[in-house]
Formats: sequence, C-alpha cells, structure tokens
Amino acid sequence: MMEGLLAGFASVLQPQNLLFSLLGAFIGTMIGVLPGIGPTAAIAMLLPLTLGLDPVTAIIMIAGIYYGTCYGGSTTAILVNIPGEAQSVVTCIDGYQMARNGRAGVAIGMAAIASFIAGTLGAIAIGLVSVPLINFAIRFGPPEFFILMALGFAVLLVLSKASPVKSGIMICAGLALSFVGQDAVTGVPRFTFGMPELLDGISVVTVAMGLFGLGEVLHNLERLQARTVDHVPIKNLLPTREDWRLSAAPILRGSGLGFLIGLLPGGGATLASFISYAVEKHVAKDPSRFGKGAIEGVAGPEAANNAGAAGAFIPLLTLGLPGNPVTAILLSALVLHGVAPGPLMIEKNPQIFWGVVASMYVGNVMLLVLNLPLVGVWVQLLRVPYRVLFPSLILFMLIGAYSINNNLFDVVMLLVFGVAGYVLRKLEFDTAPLILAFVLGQPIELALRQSLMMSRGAPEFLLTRPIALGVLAAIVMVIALPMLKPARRIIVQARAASDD
Amino acid sequence: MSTAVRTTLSGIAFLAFGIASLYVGADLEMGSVLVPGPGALAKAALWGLVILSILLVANGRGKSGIAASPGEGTLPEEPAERGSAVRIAVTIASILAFILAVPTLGFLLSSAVLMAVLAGLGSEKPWSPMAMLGGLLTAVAAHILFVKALGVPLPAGSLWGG
Repeated sequence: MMEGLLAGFASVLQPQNLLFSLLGAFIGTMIGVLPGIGPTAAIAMLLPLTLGLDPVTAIIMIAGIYYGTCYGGSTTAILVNIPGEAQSVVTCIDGYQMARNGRAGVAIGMAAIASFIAGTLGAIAIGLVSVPLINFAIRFGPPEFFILMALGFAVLLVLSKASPVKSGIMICAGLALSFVGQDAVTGVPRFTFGMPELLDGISVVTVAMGLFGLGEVLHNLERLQARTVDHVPIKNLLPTREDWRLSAAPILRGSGLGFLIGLLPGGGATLASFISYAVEKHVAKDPSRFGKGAIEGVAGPEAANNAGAAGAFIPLLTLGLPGNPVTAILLSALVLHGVAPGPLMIEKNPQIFWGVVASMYVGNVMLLVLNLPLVGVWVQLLRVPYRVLFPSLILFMLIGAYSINNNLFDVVMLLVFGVAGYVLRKLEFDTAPLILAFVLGQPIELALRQSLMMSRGAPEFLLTRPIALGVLAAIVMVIALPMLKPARRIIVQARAASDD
Repeated sequence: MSTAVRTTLSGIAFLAFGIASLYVGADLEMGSVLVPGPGALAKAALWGLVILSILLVANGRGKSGIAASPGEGTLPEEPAERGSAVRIAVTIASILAFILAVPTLGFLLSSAVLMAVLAGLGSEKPWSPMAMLGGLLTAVAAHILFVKALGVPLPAGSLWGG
C-alpha cells in the first residue's frame, strides 16, 4: 500500500497535476460559495473541460472541484447565513450565531481546520480500507454484484428524503431511461424511436447536468431578489485553547461517523453533517448552547461532511458502484477517460487509483491554503447578484452538453432533463435515486443476465454463494428495519398503558 | 395547488409515461428465465413504475414537507416571487429557440442573442440595454475562451458557410 501511495503522491506532486489540483479546488470553492450549483452539477458542467487532459490530471482536477464545493459552502453559511451547498445548512445554525457573537473568524477557521483533519483522516482511511476490500471484492461474481446493487436500491428507498413510493418511482424511471439505446447483449434497439442519436443511450453527464444544474437554475429563477450581504468583521481565524478542547472530540466523532455514512448508498456529505449535528447535541453536557453559537455545532458537521465525501469514494473505487449522485458523475468521468473503476482498477490503473487517494490529501492542503486567506474574495463573490450569474451558468451548461458528442441532440436532452428536474423538485421528488438507477441500470441488467445463465435455471444456485447470501440478508434487514419502528411504538404504547 | 393534488397529478403523469413506454416497447422480447431478452428488465422496471404510480395516485400524497433538493439535501425554501413563472417559461423558450437557431446562425450569434435575452430578463430594470450588452459580451467572452483558447469545436452556422 505504501508503495502505491508514494507513487500516487509522486504523480500528484508533479507541477502540472499540482496546478490542476489547485485550479479544481479554486473553482470548486468558488462554486461552493455560490448558492444554487452543487457539486454534482459543478462536476457535470466542468467535465467536458477535462476531456483534453490526461486521465490522472483530469481525475485529480475533478477531485479538487468536489472537495472545493464541499468546503466553500461553509464560509457563506457562517458569514451571511446562506448555505452555499445543502451540506452546509447545518453549519448555518451555530456558525452564523458565532459570527453574530463577533467570532466569525474562529468559526471559519474551525470549519476549515475540521474539514482539513477529516479530509486527511478520510484519505488515510481510503488507503487503509480499499486494499482489503479489493482483495475481498475480487471474489465477487455477477450474482454478488447484482445483489449488491439491489442492496443499494433498498438502502436508497429507506434513506431517501421523499416517500418510499416516490423514491421507488424515481428508481424505476431511472432504470427505464438507462435501457434507452442498443441492448448490449442482443444489439436490439430499445426505446430509440428510430433516432440514431439514441442508439448509444442517453449521456449520464447530460442527465445529471439537466436534473441538477439546469433544473436548479430554473428553480432559482423563482427568486432573483438581491441578497443582502452585511459587513461581518473577520478578526482572528485561529481557535483558542478552549475552542480546541470543545472541538477535538466532535471533529474525531464527525470524521468517523461521516466516513461510515459516506460508505452507504445514498449517504454522503449532507446526511453525514445532519447526523453529526444531532449526535453532538445529544452528547453535549449542555445541549441548550446549540443554536446559540456552540463551536461543536460547526466542528462536528464540518468534519462529517468532508469525511462523508471521502467515504463515498470507497464503493466507487473498489467496487465500481457509485453510492450518490456525485460519485455517479465521477464514475462517468472515469469511464470517459478510459478507466473502469472496480476491483481490478488498482491492478490495471494503479497510478489513477493512488493518484486519486493522494489528490484528496493534497486537495485538502490546497483548500486550507486557499480558504483562509481568500475569505474576503469569497464574500465579494457573494455580492454578485444571481440575476447576473444565471445567464453565464446556462451558457456554460449548453457548451458543456454540446461538447460531449459535438451534437445538438445532447443540448436538447439537457433542456428536457432540466425542465424535468425543475418539475420533479416542485413535486417534491428526490432525483438522487433516479440518477443512481440510471447509472446502475445497464450493469445490473448485465449482472442479472450473467447470474441467470450461471445458475442454469436452478434458483438454489444462490445457496452456494455465501457472499451473495450475506448481502441478501442485509437487504432483508434494510427493508425490515423501518417496519420495526411502528412495532416498537406499539410496544412502548402498550407499556405506557399497562403502567397507567 | 395543494400537495395532495400535485402528488396525484404527478402519479397520473408517471402512470401515463409507464403505460406509453410499455406500449412503445411491446415488441421487445422477454426471453426465458435462463436467457432473459432485451425486454425483460426494461418491462419489469416499467411495470414497477406503473404499479407505484397507481399507489401514489391512490395515496393522493407522498411524504410532504420540505421540497427535496436534487440529490444532496434540502436548502431553506422561500416563496417564489411574483412573475417568476413567466421568467422561467421565457428562459425555457429562449433555450429552445437557441437550439433551433444554432444550425443556421451558428453558436456565436445564437448564444449572443440568448445571453442578451436572459440578461435583459433577469436585470433589475427589465430589458435594461446595459444588462443586455453585458449578456452579449459574455457570449463573446465564452466564444473566445472555448473556441479560441480551449479548441472546443462549436458550430459556425450554415448561414456563414459552416
């Protein structure tokens, strides 16, 4: 592992890669500061720009963008109570209160330091966990992959913000859309309406850019009133000894919790930050301090969202399975650059695998260097009204969509999915399950077909696959757990009644 | 429009989408259990969509509350401004017009017009000439960045012999 990691660092520390890592972190932070465009849309929009770069450099830049967007949102959350990204919503609660108490600098400093520590621990954990997991995953065959993907869908149903029925609809719609194009096994065209442009299917980047980018811009057009950005004095950025004493445990808890949540399908930075805040409030000696400027309410969630972002890389790099929309886009980015993530990636493309791991660490250093001295620049950026920004964002997406295949058809698809994204949001559908089902549709179909052929029509074939059986048991548990909740409530009510 | 009505309407829309797709894909072969055909999983997904849509319509409402932010959580919602529906409709129509114009007028001219329209639409004082000029300049700057600096081949337009 050490050898690989050192090779990864040697690759990332080359001047060209270092420059693109810095550029990615800078653009990412800039986008993270702006409300509206999240990491998924940012990566989808900027992906075409990386096509001319060599794969290692491109992936390093994309990783920088991802970390930058995760990082940037916290600054505006603290200074002006506007979360740049959804994962910074929690930081608003106590971060903004700290700013109002004259401690904006410490809040920003702690957010940056907590993110840096968590990101570093996350990068180390990826290095440590990946190799054993890959050695285990090499034994996976089509049945294991099929059941693993099915487990992903089950977890999505349980964790999704929308109702299970709505999430189920999104999964089915995503699967159906993924089957548009030529069938990989028989070559039969499916749902192409005789259009040659659809034979290769619909581009993942176009779908993501439409749903998450254009859809978001259309949603933001509902409110164009200028934001008021008050002048908040930023004095000392470094936390005091007392701040450190209060924050050390939340940072470590947030890092561990965030990493584990990041591993889950449907998990990731946002969920991690919300859960970390709840945990910190729960374990605090005086929970009433939360919401009034408690530094633990900044340190824990900020650590958790960065560790969650790192954890989400594990299923992608080791199994080739994305767990959230950001990693789904990263998967398509890797494929665009001729890299197939999965258990064999470390063997076939070790420079990319370890390059990505090393770039996470380097990216975190870049972000620490960027975020603290440039706080003033990010605040100035916030003063640019959205009404000035949105035409450029739309133009950027139109050029990005066109440049995927040098075809206007992708621009049409961008508009279709942009409108769909806006409408689905208005109807309170969570589009994350749709994009994941869309990305996993083809692989899950292939795995199912191969599994059925391997079984030779005998369903007891599964009994000879202990890993598949284990994952199957996990699916049953994931589906059964929420059902236990009402059962628990009934027991509690029954006990209360008997006490009376 | 209430959440219940919106949910019912969305259920009906997905039901229609599922049934129409099943009709379009009716010819796709299901294959056998051992060798599933190209229609097996596609139709299974569409039947799932149809059944869940019926359930959604029957329930009349899903889990209501905060609107789901695409993918990664929820941001606090504020009510939409007056006239925003027109703004969104004009934006969508402008993008559509841009797509139709590109093959003839080329990317530069079409995007310049689009940017001027969008900038004018969004400006504090609607259709302010300065804002529209800003939009136009954005298109020119994007053209220089993408075509000249990054070498992205954007269509020149048949009108100019492209």
